[in-house]
Amino acid sequence: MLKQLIKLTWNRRRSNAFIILEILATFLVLSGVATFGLHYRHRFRQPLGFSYENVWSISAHEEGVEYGSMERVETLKKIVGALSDFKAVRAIGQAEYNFFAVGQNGRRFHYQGRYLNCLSMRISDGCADVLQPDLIQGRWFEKSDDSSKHTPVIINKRFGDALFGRENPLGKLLESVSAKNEVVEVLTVVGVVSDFRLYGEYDELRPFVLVRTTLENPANMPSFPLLIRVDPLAEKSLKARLLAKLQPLAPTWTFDITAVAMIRDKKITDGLAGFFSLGLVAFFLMVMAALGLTGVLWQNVTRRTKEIGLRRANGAHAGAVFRQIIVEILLLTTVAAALGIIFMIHFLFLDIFATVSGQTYLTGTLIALAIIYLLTTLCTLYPGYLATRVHPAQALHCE
Amino acid sequence: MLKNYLIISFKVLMRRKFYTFISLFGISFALMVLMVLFALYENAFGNIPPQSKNDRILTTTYVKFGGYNFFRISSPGYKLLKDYLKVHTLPRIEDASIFSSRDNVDLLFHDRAINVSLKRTDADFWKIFDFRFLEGRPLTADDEKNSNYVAVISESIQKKIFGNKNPLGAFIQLEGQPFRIVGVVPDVPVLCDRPYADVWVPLSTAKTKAYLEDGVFGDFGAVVLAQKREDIPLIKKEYSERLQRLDYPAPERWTYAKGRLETVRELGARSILNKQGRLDKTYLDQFRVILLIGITIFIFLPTINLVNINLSRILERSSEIGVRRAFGASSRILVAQFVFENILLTLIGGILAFGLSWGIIQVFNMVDTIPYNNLRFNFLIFFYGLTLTILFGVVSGVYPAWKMSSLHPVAALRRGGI
Repeated sequence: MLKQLIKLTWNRRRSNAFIILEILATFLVLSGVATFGLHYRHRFRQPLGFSYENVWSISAHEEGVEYGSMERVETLKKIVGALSDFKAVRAIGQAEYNFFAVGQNGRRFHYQGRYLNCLSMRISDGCADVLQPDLIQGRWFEKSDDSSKHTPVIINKRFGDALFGRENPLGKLLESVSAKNEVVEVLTVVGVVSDFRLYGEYDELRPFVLVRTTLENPANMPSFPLLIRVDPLAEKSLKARLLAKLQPLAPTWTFDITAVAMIRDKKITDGLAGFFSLGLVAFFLMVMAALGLTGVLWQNVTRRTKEIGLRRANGAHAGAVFRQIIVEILLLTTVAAALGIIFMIHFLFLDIFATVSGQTYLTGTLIALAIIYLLTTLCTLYPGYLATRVHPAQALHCE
Repeated sequence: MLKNYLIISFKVLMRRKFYTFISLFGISFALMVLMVLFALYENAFGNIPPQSKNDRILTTTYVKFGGYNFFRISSPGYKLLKDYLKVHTLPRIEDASIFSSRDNVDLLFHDRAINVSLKRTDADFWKIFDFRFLEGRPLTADDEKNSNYVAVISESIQKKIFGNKNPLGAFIQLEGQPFRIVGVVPDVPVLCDRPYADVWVPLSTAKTKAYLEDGVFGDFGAVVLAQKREDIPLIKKEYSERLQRLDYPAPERWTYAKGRLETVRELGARSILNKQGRLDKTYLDQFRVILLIGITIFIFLPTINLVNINLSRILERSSEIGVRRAFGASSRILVAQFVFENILLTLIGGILAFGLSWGIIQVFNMVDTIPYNNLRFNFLIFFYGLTLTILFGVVSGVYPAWKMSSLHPVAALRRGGI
């Protein structure tokens, strides 16, 4: 039966070629939209790995203070002391730069002859309570690390998987190597966080390393913002009261207090316009493709009413004819889908799609495959049903 | 003759409304999406105020400084642009401007507060970008030199806080400092990344002068205006070279520095493709390839759809073809007729697309999905679109028409197969 149908389809290859082309185009559009949709959905849904609600960032422009001076450290200590006097300030920490910003710091970490370039940030002990990071192994930095021989670091899970594979990352020693191949710093892994997506939800998923720093470290750059966790019920005037308290401690500095959630909101809104436009275009494209396919298949089946009538007059069951039509269309779909998958495999090796993971790619293609089969079946079922309903005599007569 | 064709065409179109609808839908939607995309593109990268000199404007990307085992990517600092790279002395430029990144701050007026985007600029900024002033004047070199607390605001900010009153001379509070309003400009679309802001004030009014002494990183950007378009490669090259031979503030730390001057389009492609940190090449070509693939798909889908629908309708019209051929119509005449019908169909689609895209653009502008969007219906683009539609019509008509006309009259009259 199938062999016969293949022969039939082959004999009509020229008129079928265009239908295959249309199914192919629709398939490619669907898989493209599905793959990218999934890619960004996956990225967006990954947890950030820390909490930013009720976290405020205090940054200071400093004047008349040298970067590495102890004077600056003393001022910082005074500021931290003043902040901890506030009841509404629950925790205080320091981080190398503002969250959800654009600046990036990267480092190269060596481990047993291999190395990994990745983004990193220096962060203080107090951030454990401020950011409430999602630790899955080990611990956050603490005071006792002061006496540690190696610089303590906390890695995200992706970093551990990339460099240590299945081994337990805790206690592993990483090395920072200079151009002359000398080890300049040895770092030890004390904890693993599920993730630390400093640049927000839109950012790609990447390995990340947190390096310990302390408030007392004079080498900290002046851009280091102080992060505080405030009482969710804190009054609105808190910001002004904080500023009033801090200013006299460092008369030449200019303070700026921003809610981290606000920075994130802005970043999300900025990105949303782009996603919205892209989504709209993708939606139009899909509607266009699906509707076009519906029309073509519909017509293709309808015009065969006469042929169906003839077969039924020769004694074929309506059901058998019906099945034949569906199998024929599914055959065409299969040919188109096979071609489409060849295309998709080809795209996989293009640079443009380099950041899309293979699994997402596969799932996207499978979803497109399911939709295209569903669509072609539906577009055949109803007109096919109508065609078999026509009485043979009438069908043979009709135009 | 033409009248006959017209009548027949309409009869054919009305006979199967479903298929006519699908064909029209495909054509008009494809055209509409293309029109809206072009309008967005024009809005972001077109030579429209305040970016009329877009073709000659070059702007800085992020900079990346690194050593053997670390790197840092950030916006350039003021000192880097002004003193180390000396953007003002780049060869063959008309003007160079340094300005701050946008900052979200609260604007206070009496007891009202609104959140605005603030940009600090020098005087050249207002020469490179040609703002049309609704009221008042731009920021001047004197304002910058004397740290005058003056501000230019956008039209919608004016509407929000002053209504229809003239705001010139009024004082607003920004970051605790009072600024006198000296100018009002039309809203800048948020897609025009470089000039966009709600409020512009002189650089020197910053709360602290720390930025003057910052290291190589900071929160600034620069634009330069080339004298001629041909000078662009030279200016770009000089900028990169200066970055390479820069005397870094901490030379033992850094072994390399990367950064580029790029045209507005190049920077746009970079940020759309999210390649801010990859500073070795521009991404405009890659962006164009993606755009081209997208446009091709959009055109290809309705065309192939039309071909299919036309092909399967041959049978429907076989008796008509048979009669015409039996009475001596040559196949050329028949082809002409069918192609004409198809072009008519696509033209109707084009007209629908005209209405649809015009409407969608109005809606886009109204709902503020993208803030301060001022999409314009571009008749030139529409003309291209229409040409494209006619091409649709011809391409999707010729093959089916040829198939139709090659029907043997006897076979056609018998309503036989093809």
